[in-house]
Formats: sequence, C-alpha cells, structure tokens
Amino acid sequence: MKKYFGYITLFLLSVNLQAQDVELKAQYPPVVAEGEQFAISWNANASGGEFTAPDFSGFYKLAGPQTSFSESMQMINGKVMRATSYTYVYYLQAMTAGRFVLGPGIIRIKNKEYRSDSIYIEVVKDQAASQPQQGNNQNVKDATGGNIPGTDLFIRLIVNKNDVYQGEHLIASLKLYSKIDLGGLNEVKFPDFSGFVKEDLQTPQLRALQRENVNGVVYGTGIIQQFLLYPQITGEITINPVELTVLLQQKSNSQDPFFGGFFDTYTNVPKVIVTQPVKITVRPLPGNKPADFSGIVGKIDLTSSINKDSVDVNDAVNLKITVSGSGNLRFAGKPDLKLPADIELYEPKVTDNIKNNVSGSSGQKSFEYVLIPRHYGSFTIPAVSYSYFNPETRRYEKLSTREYTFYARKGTDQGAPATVYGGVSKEDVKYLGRDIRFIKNDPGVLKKAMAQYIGMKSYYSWFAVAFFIFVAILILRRETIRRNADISAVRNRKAAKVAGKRLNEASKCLKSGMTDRFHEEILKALWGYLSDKLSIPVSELTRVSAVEALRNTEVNEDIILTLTDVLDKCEFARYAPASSDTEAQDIYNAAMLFIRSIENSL
Amino acid sequence: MKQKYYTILLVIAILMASSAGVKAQEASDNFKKGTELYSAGKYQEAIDAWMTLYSSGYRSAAIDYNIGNAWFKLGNVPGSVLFYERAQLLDPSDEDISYNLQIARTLAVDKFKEIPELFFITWFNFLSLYLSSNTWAILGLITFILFLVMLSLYLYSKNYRLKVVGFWTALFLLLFALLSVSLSARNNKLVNRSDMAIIMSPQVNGKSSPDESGTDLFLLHEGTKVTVGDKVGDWYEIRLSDGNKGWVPSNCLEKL
Repeated sequence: MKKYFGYITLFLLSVNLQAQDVELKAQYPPVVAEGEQFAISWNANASGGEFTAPDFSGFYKLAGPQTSFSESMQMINGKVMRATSYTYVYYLQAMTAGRFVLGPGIIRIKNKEYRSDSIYIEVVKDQAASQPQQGNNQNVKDATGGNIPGTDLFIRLIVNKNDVYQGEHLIASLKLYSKIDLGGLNEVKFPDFSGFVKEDLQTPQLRALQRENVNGVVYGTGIIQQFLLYPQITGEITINPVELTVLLQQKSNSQDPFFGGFFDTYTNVPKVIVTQPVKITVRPLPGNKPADFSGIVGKIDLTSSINKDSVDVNDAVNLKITVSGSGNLRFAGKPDLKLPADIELYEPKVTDNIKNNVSGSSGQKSFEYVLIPRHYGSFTIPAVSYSYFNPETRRYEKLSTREYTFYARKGTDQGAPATVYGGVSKEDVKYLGRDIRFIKNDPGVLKKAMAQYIGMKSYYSWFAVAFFIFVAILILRRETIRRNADISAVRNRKAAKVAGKRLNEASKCLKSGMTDRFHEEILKALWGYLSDKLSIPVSELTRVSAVEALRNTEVNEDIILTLTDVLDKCEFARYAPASSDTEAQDIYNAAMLFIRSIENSL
Repeated sequence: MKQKYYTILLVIAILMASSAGVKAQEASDNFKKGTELYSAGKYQEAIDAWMTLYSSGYRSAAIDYNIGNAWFKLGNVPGSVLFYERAQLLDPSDEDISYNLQIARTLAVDKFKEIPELFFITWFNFLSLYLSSNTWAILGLITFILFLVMLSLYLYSKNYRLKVVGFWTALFLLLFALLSVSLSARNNKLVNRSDMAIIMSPQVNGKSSPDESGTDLFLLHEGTKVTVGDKVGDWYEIRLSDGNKGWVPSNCLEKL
C-alpha cells in the first residue's frame, strides 16, 4: 500500500513538472548508416530561450539550426491552457562507423539552463542504406517480379524465453523488419497456438518504423503485436509460422518522359511474409504438487478478510480471499475451505483485475465466499492454505490465510408471530464421513485361551460320573426296599418260633394251675403268629381279616376251623374259668396242630 | 452327594481363575500401552504391543478389535478384516465390531456375496457364540446333573403332582443339556477350528489343481473371506462364497 502511494505521488509530481517547468526533448534516429543524412531536433515547451547545440564531432553538419515555433491555446471550462513549442533542427551526415555520444542540448531561459538527455547514435557500415532512394527503387523492381530478397523484408516472432515451466508465461512479439518503404500492413494471420493459452497485450498501432541495427544492417523495425503465452502442455511445442500480408509500394511501369519519377504513381501490391516456426520447451512442474496447489506459476501474495465477526443465525458472513501478484492468475483455482458442517457454503464469487503487460500478467483475483451459519455457536474458519510454484526458486511455496472465528447468535425471529412452543427446528444428524469406530479401552477379562472342555475326555467323564452316581442311588434305594421287604419275611420265618415260646409259656402256666394266664398266652401266641405269618399289622388283625387272609392263601378249611375253634374255646375259657385240665390240654394241642399245619402248608 | 460336585467344580473354577490372574496385571498394562500408542497415532507400535498379548495366548474380543483398528489405520485391509472377524467370533453381539467389519469389507475389492444360511443355522451359530465354548460346556454339565435330580424326583416321589413336575422339568433339562453341549461344540468349531480364512495377498489366482501349472480359475483380492477345505502340500483348497472351488498357496491366506 505504501508502495502504491509512493508511485502515485511520484506521478503527480511529474505532471506538475510538465505543466510548469521547461522541458527540452531531443529526437533522433538511434541507428544510422555510414554516409547517411539525418536530422536531430530539439523541442522545447517554452519560448524566449537561447539554444546551444552540442558539439557534433564525428558528424558533418549539413544545415541548421532551423527553428520553428508553434503555439496552441485551449479553453476548457474557462480555463486557458497554452502550449508553446520551439523546435531546433540540425541536419547531419554520418561520417564514420562507430558509436557516438553527443552532449545534451542546452536551452537558457531567464538565466536558467535546461538540458536535454545526451544523444546516443550508432553509425553502421551499410552499403545498401547509403543510397536509400536508389535501393528502394531496386527493391521495388524486384517486387514486380514478386521476388524481394528475404533480407530486405521479414518478420520474426520473438519470445523472451525458450524454456519455461508449464503455466509460466512467456512473451511473444511479432516484429517487422524492413529496409523498404511499405504502403501498409494488411492482416496478420496467427496460427492456432495449440498447447498455449494466448492473451494479447495492448500494442500501440504501428505508425512508423524505428531504426535498428540488426547484425550491422539498419532496418526499420516495428512491433506489430505482442502477446502472452501460457503453455498448457509439457514437452516441445512448436509455434507455427505467423503470416503477415504487407502492402508494397510499387511504381507504375509507365515512365514519364518529362518529369522523370517525380510524378510517378504508386500502387500497393500485397505480399505475404511468414515467420520461422518457434520451438518452446515446456517443462512440467517438478516434484510432487502439494494438495493445495492453486495452479499458479509466478509470485503471489494471499490476503483474506472477513466482514463480520458476529452474525445472527442464517445471516451471511463474507470471507474474501485475494490472490495478488504476477503469474497466470487467470487460472488460479479457488482455495479449498474446510468449514464446520453447520456452515453452509456457496460457490465463491470470483472477481479479477488482471492486467497484461510485457512483464507478464499481474493483478489480483478475489474469491468472495458467502458463509451462512445454520446453527448458533462459535465457528472457526480454519486457515486456508494455498500454494503456488515459483519459477525463480523452482519450488512450491505455501501461503495461508489466518484463522477466523465468528459467533452466530441465536436468531431473533422478529417477523414471525409468537409461537406457542419454543423448541428448535429438527434436522437430521449430518453424517460427515465414515470411519471406523475407536478402539476399546477396556480389555475385559484378560485371560489366556483355555483348553476347550468340549474336546476333552475328562469333560465327558463328568457326565459319566453324574450318571453313575444317579444309577448308584437308584440301586441303593432298590436295596433298601428289598431289605424292608425282608423284615416281614424274617418275621414270617420266625413266627413259629415265637409262637412256640408262647405255647411253652402257656404249658408252664397250665402245670402251675394258672388257667387264666394259660388261655391268655395261647391267644397271644396265635394272634402274634397270624400277624407275623400273614404280614398283617396287629392293629388291623381281627378274626375276620385273619380268616380271610388265610382263605386267600388257600389253606385247608379244616385248619381254619381248628383255628376258630381254638380261638372260641380260649375266649370262652377266659370268661368261664372253671374248666378242666384236659380241656386246656386239648386247646394247647389244637393250637400246636394249627401252627404246625400252617407251617407245613405255607 | 451333589454338594460334593459343586465343591469340585468350584475348586476347578478357582484354580483356573488364579492361574489366569498370575500375569493378568502385566497383560493389562500391555493392553493399556497399546491403546496409548494408538491414540498417539503410532499404529504400528500399538499393533506390536497388542500382538505380544495375542501371540502369548491372550484372547479377547477387545484385543482383536483393537488390532483390527490399527491395521485399518495403517491401510492394511485384509489384516483388519481378519482381526475384526476374529473379534466377532468372540463377541458377536458387539455393535462396534460389526460396524467396523462392515466398513473394512467395503474396502475389500471382491464383493462379498454371501449365500444366506438357513435362518436357524444363523441363530444357532449366533447363540453358540453368545457364550464361550467352556461356559456352554459347564452349563451343559450342570443342567445334566439337574436333569438327574429331577428324574430322581419323578421316580421316587409318592406325590403325583411332584411326579408330574419332576417329569417335565427333567425332560426340559435333558433337552437343554443336549443343546448346551452341542452349542459348546459349535462354538469350538467356529472359534478354534474355523475353516474360514481371509485372503492376505494383494491378489491371488485360484488354480484348478494344487500346482503352479494349474489353470487359473478366478482372481481373488485381499480381504476376501473363503472357506478352506483340503490341504495338499503347501496348497489349500478353498471354496468361495458363491460355491466355486480352487487351490491357492497356503501362504496367501490366514485362517480365522
């Protein structure tokens, strides 16, 4: 900015000088041929001065000074502008070849000296140019035969560089060289410049040819067109010839016998001249392009700005990123913004102000992004990186903007009617990318892989063990039942023995004369025997049940009769004690008989 | 009597737990080291830490899952698929594992076109993986013992109602015991003797015979899941999910 300001002040200053101060300007051909006559003129923008020419050593002064004066007045909106011009002309002839420096012309106005620049003239040995008029005639004669020597008239396509990087600009100038007078230029036919993007430079229209020394020959030269070329492909690119149609002045054939060539008429004859093809080597950009490579080859700066640092939700924030500098800015890609997902981003508005000139194109290109926060909160626009290729250092250089933070306030819906329920507008969760989920921090139970039970024989043996135990319990229980069953069998087996003891007891009682005891013992013996033998509990034993049980065992009916008889007699004897001993002996015998016969039959 | 069984089982369990607990602290430290390295972005080092655990015989879904993640971050798709598959076998109900496996599979070149299994086989497999093989085995044993108890109840009870209850419970427990044992066997088959494998080479040709000169039948890329069949020399016969069979060198795949 400071720099620009400096330029501007400088410019203003120079304007002031022109307006007020005296200026002396020299006009002269920079190159002349040996023996050629030419003019040097000094032009002063003030009158009333005293002009002193420098020493024309090395040249022969033919005439001069011729002084001419002109004045012009302009009135614009009542403001008078006056321009005065004094011109001093000297005619010189170059004597010897070489480079000459003439001192400045000096004009003295009101005791003040003003100097022009020094004059640099190159004098070359040139046979052809020594007699320009003659040479011209010759050439025209050649032209009638359609054959002008290539050295007299040609065009060149001049490029400032033959070896460029892809995207690096090069300046091509189409320059005309001529030793002959031309009636004019018709049309320039440019090739298609395949492999390049071409941008024309503003070239002033060619009005007069400048004299120039080309390899010791003085040519009138002029730049017809200049343009910038941006190579788009790599490799060796050939620019095809440019065709230019020039109009040669051709004298009509009829010779005037009276006035010679003075009244000769000239006609313009078109002639096509072409340039040589030009080869350009385009190298690809070296190395790996950075991911944020902008496509720019040149030298740039990056600036950025944001217009607000706090907005309402759904209001826009403008982020402006400006690329300025020189290089192929027109091809600058937009910077890649990585924004938080809640910010809506629109395509940037791109404006550029790029000027092409002979040093390439320069200027600036702005990308204006509109960011709309869709949710409230603090948002950070991360730094945007932007890199370019610098052909001077042959390296990629990285620029980046600064990071911006802005805050989005909760919107105040002023226009909306009072809503009953607050709440926020529901939106789907935005899925921004896919990635694997994070690792587990909890290892769980860390243990070594164990042998698998299912493959082990010992595992199945547990089943066998369980089953075996089950079977064992089963058998054990069966045994117990069987044993329980044996108790009645034992009692059964021992029934006769027990009854025998009771009967013994009874007989003892009988001998001692205790008949009451005797009958009681007999009954006990019988009932006990029946209970044991028939496996009927004493509590359930009655005469009926005993008889029934005996009948079921298919005992002889006589034996049952014996039993009932004995029982009847015993019962009777208990309540009629005066019974005889013989009767008691009978009862005893009958009971013995009964038990014996039961033992035999069961 | 049964008291004694439980006591024995308990003693066995305690013994196992204590033997596992000897180096558990060290293993846990190793695991933590791995997670820290992973968080710091040193994926290779994290893998090394976890792999020492893995190769010393520690098995856990978390270890496999984390190793899979680290491989994934290193761009090794088949490695991540392999370990995610392993992790899924250890914990089939974990969402993260299935999610990451799905993502890793999308990066595998070959399309996974799995022939859908019959639904009850899927269920059976899932159920078998729900608990570990050993847990199923112990469960099977316990239910078998309970079955015997209930059978005894049925046999010896004098009460009709108890008899009925005993009978049906015993029947149910018997079925459950059989199921548990078969689930345990299934789990063991899936986890420890899996016939599934992941192709680890970037690409490999399936040949018609276990020989370099065999005709190329199909081209497989890394990360594809195949079923391994016979082995002849250094060659495996593999079956693709679409049913095609071919032979590949054994070093180009890794069993689950």
